[in-house]
Amino acid sequence: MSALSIAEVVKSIRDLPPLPAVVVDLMNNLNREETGARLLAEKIAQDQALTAKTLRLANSSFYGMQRKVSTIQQAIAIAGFNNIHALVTAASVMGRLSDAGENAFDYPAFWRHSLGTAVCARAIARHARANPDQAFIAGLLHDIGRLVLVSHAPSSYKQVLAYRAAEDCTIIEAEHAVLDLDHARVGKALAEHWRFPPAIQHAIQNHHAPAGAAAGSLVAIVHIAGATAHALDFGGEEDDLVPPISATAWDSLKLDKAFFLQMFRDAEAQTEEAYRILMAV
Amino acid sequence: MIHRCCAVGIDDAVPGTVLAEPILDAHGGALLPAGSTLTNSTLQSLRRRGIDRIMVVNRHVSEADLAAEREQVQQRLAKLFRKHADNDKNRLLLQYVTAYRSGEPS
Repeated sequence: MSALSIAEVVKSIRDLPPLPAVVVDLMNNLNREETGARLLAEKIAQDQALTAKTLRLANSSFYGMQRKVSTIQQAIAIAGFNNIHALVTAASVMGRLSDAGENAFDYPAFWRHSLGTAVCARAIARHARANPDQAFIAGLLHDIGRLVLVSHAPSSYKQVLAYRAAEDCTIIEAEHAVLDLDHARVGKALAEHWRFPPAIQHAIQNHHAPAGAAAGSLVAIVHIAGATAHALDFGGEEDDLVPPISATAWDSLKLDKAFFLQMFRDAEAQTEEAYRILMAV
Repeated sequence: MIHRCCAVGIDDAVPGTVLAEPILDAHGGALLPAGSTLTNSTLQSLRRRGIDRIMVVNRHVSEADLAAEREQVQQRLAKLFRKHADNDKNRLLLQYVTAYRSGEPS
C-alpha cells in the first residue's frame, strides 16, 4: 500500500489551476438570476472560446431549443440563466483538468462517463422535481477526485488501476486498498476549495454511499445517474463495471421503466455531441 | 446499438420505406409513428413541413447481421453487469438496458 494523506492531497489542490473568476463568482450567485444574467453574459463575452462553445452547445441537441440563438444574451433568455451557467462551469472545469501530462489515465473515457452522468442526473432531477442544473454540475464532477489523485500521485494511481485490473473490483475499492483514501473524499475537498454549494460537495462525497441520504436528494440522483452512465457504457473502458446500486436511492426517486428508456435514448443523443463541443480546443 | 435503422434525407426516401422512429413536429407532437410505411402523399406532406431527415428501417441489414449484433450487445452487457448480480436494482437496470438495446420503444 502507498497510503496518501488527505492533508497532503488537499495541499496539492491549492496548486491546481484555479477556476476562472466568473465561475466562482456565479456559483455564489446561482439563485440570484437578475444580477447574475448580466454578469454572466458580460463575463462569457470576454472569453472568445467560451462564447463559441456556449453558442454551439445552445444550438445542439443538448438543449433542443426550437430556434437558433446567435448571442449569449439570447441563449440565456431562451435556455435560462442556470442552464447556461451550468454549461460554462462544465466548459471551464473540463478545459482545466484535462490531460495533465504523461500518464496512463484515460481522460476521454473519464469525461465521457462524467458527461453521461451529468446528462442523466439532469433528467432524473427534472423527473424528481429537484434542481436540474445543480444535478448536472454534481454529475459532471462526481468523480473529479480521480483527476486530483492522478495528477498528484500518478505512480500511486497507476497501482490503483493495476489493483483494479487484478482484482476486478470497482475503482473505489482499489483506491481504499492501495491509497487508504478515495476519490469521493478528495473530490469533496476540491469542491470545497472551489467553493461549490454544500449540496454539490455532499453529493460528490457520498455518491458511492447514498444509503443515509434523504429521499430524492442530490446524492441519490448522482448515485443512480452514475450507475446508469456505466450501464450505457459512455466511458467504453474494456473492464468497466456497473457498481452496486443502492435500493434506498433507487426507490426514493420513483423512476419507472418508461422513464429509464426515455432517459437512455436522450442521454445517448446528447452526451456525445456535448462531449465533442466541450472538448474541442 | 442494434442498428437496423439509418438516417436518410427526405429527398432520398422512397414510397414503401418504413419509419424506424416517429417523426415529431417542432413541439414534440408525433406526425407519424414508428413503423409507418411512407407513401407519396406522406412524403410530400413531410417536405411541406420542412422535415429534412428521417430515421428509416434499413432493409439491407440481414437477419444474420442483426443476430450477430444482438449477441455482441448481450456479451458487453453481461461484462458490464458481471458483478452484483444478487442486487435487485442492478438486475432491474440490466433488464431496462437490455430492453433498450433490443429496440424496445420508450
